[in-house]
Amino acid sequence: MYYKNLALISLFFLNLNFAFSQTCRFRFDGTVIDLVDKKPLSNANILIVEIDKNLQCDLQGAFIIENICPGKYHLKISHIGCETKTEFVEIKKDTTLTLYLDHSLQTLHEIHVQGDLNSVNTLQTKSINKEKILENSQGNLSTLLENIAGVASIKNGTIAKPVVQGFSGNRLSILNNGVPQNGQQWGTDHAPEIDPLVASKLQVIKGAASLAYSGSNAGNVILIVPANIENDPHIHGSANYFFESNGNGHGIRAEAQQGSTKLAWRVGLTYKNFGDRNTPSYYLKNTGNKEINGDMLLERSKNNKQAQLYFSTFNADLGLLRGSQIGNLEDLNAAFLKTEPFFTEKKFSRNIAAPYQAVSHNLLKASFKNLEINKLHTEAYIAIQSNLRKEYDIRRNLRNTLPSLSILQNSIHGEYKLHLDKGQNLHFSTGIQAKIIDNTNNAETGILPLLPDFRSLEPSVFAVLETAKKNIHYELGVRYDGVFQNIKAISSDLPRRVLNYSKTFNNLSTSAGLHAKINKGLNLEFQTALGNRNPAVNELYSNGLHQGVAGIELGNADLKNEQAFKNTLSIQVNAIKWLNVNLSGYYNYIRDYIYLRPGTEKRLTIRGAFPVFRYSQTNASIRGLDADIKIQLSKSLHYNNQLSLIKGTENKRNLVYLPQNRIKNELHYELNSKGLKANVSHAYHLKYTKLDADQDFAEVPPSFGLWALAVNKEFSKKGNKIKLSLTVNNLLNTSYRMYLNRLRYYSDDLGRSVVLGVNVGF
Amino acid sequence: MNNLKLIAVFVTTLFCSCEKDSPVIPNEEELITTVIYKLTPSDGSALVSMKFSDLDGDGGKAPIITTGTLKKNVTYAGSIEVLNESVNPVINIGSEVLEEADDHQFFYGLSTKNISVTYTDKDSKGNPLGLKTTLKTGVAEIGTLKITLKHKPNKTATGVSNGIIDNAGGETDIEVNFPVSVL
Repeated sequence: MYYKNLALISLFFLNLNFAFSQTCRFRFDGTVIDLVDKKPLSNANILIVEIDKNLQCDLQGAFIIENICPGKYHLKISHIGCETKTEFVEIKKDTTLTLYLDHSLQTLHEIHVQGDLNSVNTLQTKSINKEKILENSQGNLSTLLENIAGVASIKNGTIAKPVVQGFSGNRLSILNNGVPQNGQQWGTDHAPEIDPLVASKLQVIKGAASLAYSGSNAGNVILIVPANIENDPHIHGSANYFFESNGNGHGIRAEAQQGSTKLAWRVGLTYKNFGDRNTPSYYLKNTGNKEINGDMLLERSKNNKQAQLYFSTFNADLGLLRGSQIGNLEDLNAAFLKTEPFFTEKKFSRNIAAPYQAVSHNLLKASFKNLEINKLHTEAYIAIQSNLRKEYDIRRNLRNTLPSLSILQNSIHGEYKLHLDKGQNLHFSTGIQAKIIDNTNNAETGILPLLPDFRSLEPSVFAVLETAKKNIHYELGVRYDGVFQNIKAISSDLPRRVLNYSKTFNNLSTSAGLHAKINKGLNLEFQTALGNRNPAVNELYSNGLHQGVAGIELGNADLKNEQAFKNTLSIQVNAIKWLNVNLSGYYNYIRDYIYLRPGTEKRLTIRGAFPVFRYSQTNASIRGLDADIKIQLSKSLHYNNQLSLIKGTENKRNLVYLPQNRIKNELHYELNSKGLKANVSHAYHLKYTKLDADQDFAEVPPSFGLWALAVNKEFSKKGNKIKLSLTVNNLLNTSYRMYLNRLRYYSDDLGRSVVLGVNVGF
Repeated sequence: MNNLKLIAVFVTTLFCSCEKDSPVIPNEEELITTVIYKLTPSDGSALVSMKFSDLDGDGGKAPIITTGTLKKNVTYAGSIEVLNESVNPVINIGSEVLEEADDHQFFYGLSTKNISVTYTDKDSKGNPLGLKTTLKTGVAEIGTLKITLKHKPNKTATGVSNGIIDNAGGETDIEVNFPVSVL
């Protein structure tokens, strides 16, 4: 359909006659149409950039401007709930144009994922748009996603990985440009190796996501969606710079693109450099990070066919708090008694030394689409990923330069998808996917690896049927994943020898959902799914001391599949003009839930006795409520309330490592005519639920509240869009510790931080 | 159909090999398997040796601890040996510790009341190291001796140079407990 658009515009160019006058007397009119349901979009806004003129569409989606001069113009078409789109038009005579806007959940790069049926099925999908990403360009993927109710981060200082409705790591699928992110998903201190600044939007699909996603197993999914290359023959781009006071951090993001049907391209580059962060009262030694990322997209389109080549590289050095490296349980206990961590220094430093992580991730993807209208749509891609992780600890005899953990994980993913539309009310998609994962420890460490070498072959097949009747939309999905693992471990007794294991798993997942538009102001959505997840290699074969957490972790080769029975009910009410309520309640029952069970068992080593955590299975339940309530107080002022409640239990005991319950209140002021936005918010994190003494080393930290402030100003100068932003996080410099941040054992969390940002679009 | 060709290539690759190559077994030269505290009495009586050994490291078989009996009111010259016996030839980790004396310190924690351990060696900055010690016994008693090796301790923190571990910080490389009996 993107092509239809392209075709229309090219057609328009072909039909041009030579302008016979330079006087400004032409008429330019047209209609804005919803790409999905082909109905006119009322109240869309069109900005003609060159003359800074705003056109408002009427209820029929029509716009008109009289007496426009001949020339080349850029149009920015926007509408509530749509991604802003740029078009290019040359006016040489009276001109009529049909413009298409994507008013549904999916973009064309993620076409058909949720079906074509009147943009339903969207209540459980929440997005962060480009604007918000740029306003928080100092953050990482996970901290950005925290802006969504029901999403939190598991952290180790600046290392953060997302938790969606209590699911993270192996239970959460992250798709970067349609490709499942493949790295070391296990462990709380392995963050996804993704630069969020590449994305035009970040999406979180809560509840039972579409089974069309590789690795989803009916679980939650995070999508990192890069922007389309805008349909514009000129080179355009943007440059973004930020400064953050906490950590004295600087960052640049620059990108440029050029649209063309022959060869469209976009390139981007990100650089970030942070030194030691600080709490309200002291510096956190060795908590800086450096990042260099790049991305490139080439695109060729012809007659509704499109070929893309995408490459991205992510390279980061991430410092870990010096005082958090411990040798045994006594060191950990000694750290608890300190008000300031060991090794704390008075001076700020940019130096990153051991303990730190050096991570790099490369992705190369070739994809093809055939989107001929009224025909079977096909999509295929093949992607290669390479993930190299090296973790450095303090070691004797200059071994600091040798990593203590060094893993190279290569993977290949492939996918072939078909979409079939039968009229407006039936959509069917099916496809096959396959991946090979190859994980190799480098023996340079001189240490027995915690996770063994393995190769895993995983073919999948899925089918999703969507149909609509009256105001109700139904979805049925089924997915099969086969997993064939070959593991090569090293024995823990002497003489050291290679142990060979092979495992086969079959995972069948099904889902059913319905979405009812009860009336104009009330939407209901219910989804239920039965997802199967096989135990991951770390759960099966981990063996050894996880030093960072002062525990011995033992895998269990007898683990079975974990079965999640997920239910989500979402309600959206906007019956009253000034009120919008989004509620999403979920109940997940997980049979044979795989977790690290703490026990009374201790193992004696030369570094003292360590508690033993064994991977075990039990029946668990995780339930919660996410709420997002918006009240329009006046034309330019609205109030937003976000609530994320969660509780998890197994055998009447509370589950560990779930987010704290959170309530966030926000006042948002927006003066569109001046391009001004201001925002003040308070997020209150309630103390995590009571845990038994054997479930954690230290007591759960108390509740805390954080204030934040943000002001943004946008204006145009000589056709360039300039945006300035000022953000203050932890405004009152509150001392706090967060349950899901492992650094809470050692230090307070971050103190006040002022972020200044400037973004120039040209 | 370009797509089909691609898929064919992909599927072929898929079924090439699912068998993982054998890993290279790391050379665990840094591993500490054995700690021996040798006590030579000044009165010519029998030498006492306390030994903790865990030859296969953290996993595998459980460590073996052996100890001896100390005599009342005797001064012993103590010395520590730290070894990696998982490899052949055995690596003397003690000499690595000595080389990096500034970054290491042994601590001797006693649950008994009448035994004292004092440092008799120093690093380049004049702070104690603890590979060499003097142990003095008093009356008959039983208890435990905890020997700890800290890497990168803060040697100038309060009490650390007197062998008090509380403010030392750093990482623990060794922490072994020996039953002690003075008869």
